[in-house]
Amino acid sequence: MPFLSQLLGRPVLDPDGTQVGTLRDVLVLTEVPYPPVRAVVVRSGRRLHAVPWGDVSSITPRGTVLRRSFDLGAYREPGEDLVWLARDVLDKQIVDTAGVKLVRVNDLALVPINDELRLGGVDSSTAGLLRRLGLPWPGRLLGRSRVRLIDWEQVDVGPAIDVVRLNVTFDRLHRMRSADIAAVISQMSAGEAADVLEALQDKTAARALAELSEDHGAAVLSAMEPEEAADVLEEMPPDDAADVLGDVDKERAEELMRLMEPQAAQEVRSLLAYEEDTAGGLMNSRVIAVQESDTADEVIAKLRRIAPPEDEIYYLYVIDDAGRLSGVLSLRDLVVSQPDERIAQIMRRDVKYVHLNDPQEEVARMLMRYDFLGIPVVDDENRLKGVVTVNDVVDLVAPRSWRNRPRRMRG
Amino acid sequence: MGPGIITGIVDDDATGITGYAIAGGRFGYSLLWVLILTVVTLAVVQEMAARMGAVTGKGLADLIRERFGVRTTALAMLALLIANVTTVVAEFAGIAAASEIFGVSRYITVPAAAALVFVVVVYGSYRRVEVVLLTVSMVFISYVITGFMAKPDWGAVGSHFVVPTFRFTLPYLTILIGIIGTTITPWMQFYLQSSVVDKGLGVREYSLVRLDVWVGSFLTNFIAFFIIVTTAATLFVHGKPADTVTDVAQTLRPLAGDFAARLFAIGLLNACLMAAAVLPLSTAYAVCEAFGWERSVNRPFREAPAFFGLFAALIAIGAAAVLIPGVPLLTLMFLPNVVAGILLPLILFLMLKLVNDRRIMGSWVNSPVQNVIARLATGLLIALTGIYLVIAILEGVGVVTG
Repeated sequence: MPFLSQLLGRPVLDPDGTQVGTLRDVLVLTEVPYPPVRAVVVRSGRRLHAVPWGDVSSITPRGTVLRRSFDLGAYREPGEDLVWLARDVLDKQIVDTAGVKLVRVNDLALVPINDELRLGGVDSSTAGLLRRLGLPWPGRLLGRSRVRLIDWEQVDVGPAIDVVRLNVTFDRLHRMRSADIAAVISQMSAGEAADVLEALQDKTAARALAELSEDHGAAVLSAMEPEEAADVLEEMPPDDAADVLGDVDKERAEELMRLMEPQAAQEVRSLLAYEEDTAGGLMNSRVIAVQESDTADEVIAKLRRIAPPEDEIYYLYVIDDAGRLSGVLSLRDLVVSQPDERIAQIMRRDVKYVHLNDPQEEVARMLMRYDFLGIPVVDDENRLKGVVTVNDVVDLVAPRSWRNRPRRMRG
Repeated sequence: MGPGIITGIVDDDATGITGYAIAGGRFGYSLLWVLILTVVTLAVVQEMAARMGAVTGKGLADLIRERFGVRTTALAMLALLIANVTTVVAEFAGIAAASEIFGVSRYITVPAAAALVFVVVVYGSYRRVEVVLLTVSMVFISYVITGFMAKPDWGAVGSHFVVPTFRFTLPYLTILIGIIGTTITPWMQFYLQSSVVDKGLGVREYSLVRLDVWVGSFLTNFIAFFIIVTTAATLFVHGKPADTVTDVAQTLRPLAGDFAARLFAIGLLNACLMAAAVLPLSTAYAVCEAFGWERSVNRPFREAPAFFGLFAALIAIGAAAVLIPGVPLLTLMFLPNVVAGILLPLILFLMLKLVNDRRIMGSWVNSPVQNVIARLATGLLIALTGIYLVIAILEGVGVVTG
């Protein structure tokens, strides 16, 4: 199983054994699993020629042999419709979706299958590095001679390749969990991360953006095209959007909010009005509220219609006609009740709550004390304004080293 | 304060101060003309680095790896490591010298400084410390003030600033290369580009970035100018030598009398601490970035062994070298300049290829003027190094006497 580095630079011979050039690169078709080599790039003098795979008889570290004695001039210059492995992929950074990180391509493993040579995987190990330098022996000495291959099917090309030109779809990145996508993106610079987020679907991008540390998220948001950034912000729950926008500079934040849908922008704006480290600054203003006179059945039907996201559904808050908080019930309580029971019968009236201006430590204390998944936030007149869920405060409470807010620092 | 200005301030570290002080102390005003060349070249080169960072969002080591492959990268990183190891040693030499001016033995301060730098960077908040160090850097104003108080012959200053004098002697050439090497160091280009990328500065902020870089370049040379003038007016004019760090410290006498030495020591200590933190960190980052090793101060040691190992090793070597008894501090502080001057053309050559590559920079490639200046500077440096080596050999063989 040859590595690309072992094939490059070697002589290209015609069937009689005369050297006609050197092997400069290998062209593959990327849209299929384990991309097959479709042509090789031969350099002769100062010109490059693309020889189709069909005209190649063999390709080994000793050299490449062609099937025919054609004058190389008959082959045209290589174009941009295929990916050039040495020029475009070697030494670049790709996304290892299984290992959830950015790795550098030190070498590429090519696998002969039937009559084809296919790209099998990426060698990101130190052994690969040493092989490129032509120094295999320090590796054996240091015990680093084992090659670690990343299967090509786990790879997403990420910031390496000109995304638009090659129509890369980031399928694998899409299927990763948001925390993992965020972990990968946080290893890229703001500009690269912005490119990747723009290529993802808005919903996926929104979830990933919400997981980034605030200043990195703000930097990435600022690096994105404003229209795209606004689209992603719309897909985020307003409290997460407010968190990210809070760190973006005022002018830009205004620009983005103007491009957002008015209602979404309004929700974010009102959250931004609260101090960051208070209940108001932490809360999600989208809250499911029900009336005492509703029946269990009616509420379940309503929930089916709205289909709220997971963390807005833990508890249902009961309000009166003036919007004041009067009780709470959990989803569990709702589901085990008789369909025609009134909410007034099911709910608890001694609902615990916090005020808009309560400091975040107080909110965290309340959540810990009662083992709540969420706690409602009210204003001075006891009107329900939002909810703070436990994952909003986890960062405050968890030991410092567990926090997943990576700080980047190059000194 | 932008990356350009910060880089400009850090540039006046142990190697910088020593380089300019020796230039003024041994040769008077006759090397002032070099500053015109260095300010222009520095501004152009740093602007290239900043532009590359802003347009590509990648560090210099990253670009070198992606464009030139592993072998060239290994060569560039080797050059960077050599230059940086000597410079880190110089920074600790500066710390040793500064502490001795205060009468504290280097065997206490150097290990303490090494430990401090390690702990602050790895466990603490470097950013907060950076602000403190940058503020104390303002001590450099003392050189400007002393420059005026020493009442130099402004006529001589002016003429030497504008009219180049050139001697083919080894000492002169050494200092000449040294000044260029200390003003335009290889590590600064890597550091500046990384800073630009880290701060998320992009094409949109380009004009601000460019201004920041120009101000930084000007600042460095402005301070250099006054250090040369001051040492020339106090040491050279009176025929006093500039052989030890204390000699150099005495140049601040017109300003602060007996306090002169201590004022100098404060400035030196501060600059060296900052550089002793920035340099190993920036080197470790560049090398790990180039070779694809895990790099981050936030991961535990086990996850980023190459990064932490390199960082720790650089600090350890720097500190250890200075603790060898009898080691000449001033030489240690000057040597990196020459090393940097010799290795600089390699880095400049690579930078020029990268910044002119349309596939990387799109429409942001160099303008013809920028190319002329940068290529001319590179060419001159290579020529200078060549002459230097030839004369060094000739002298060694006894054909020419210095």
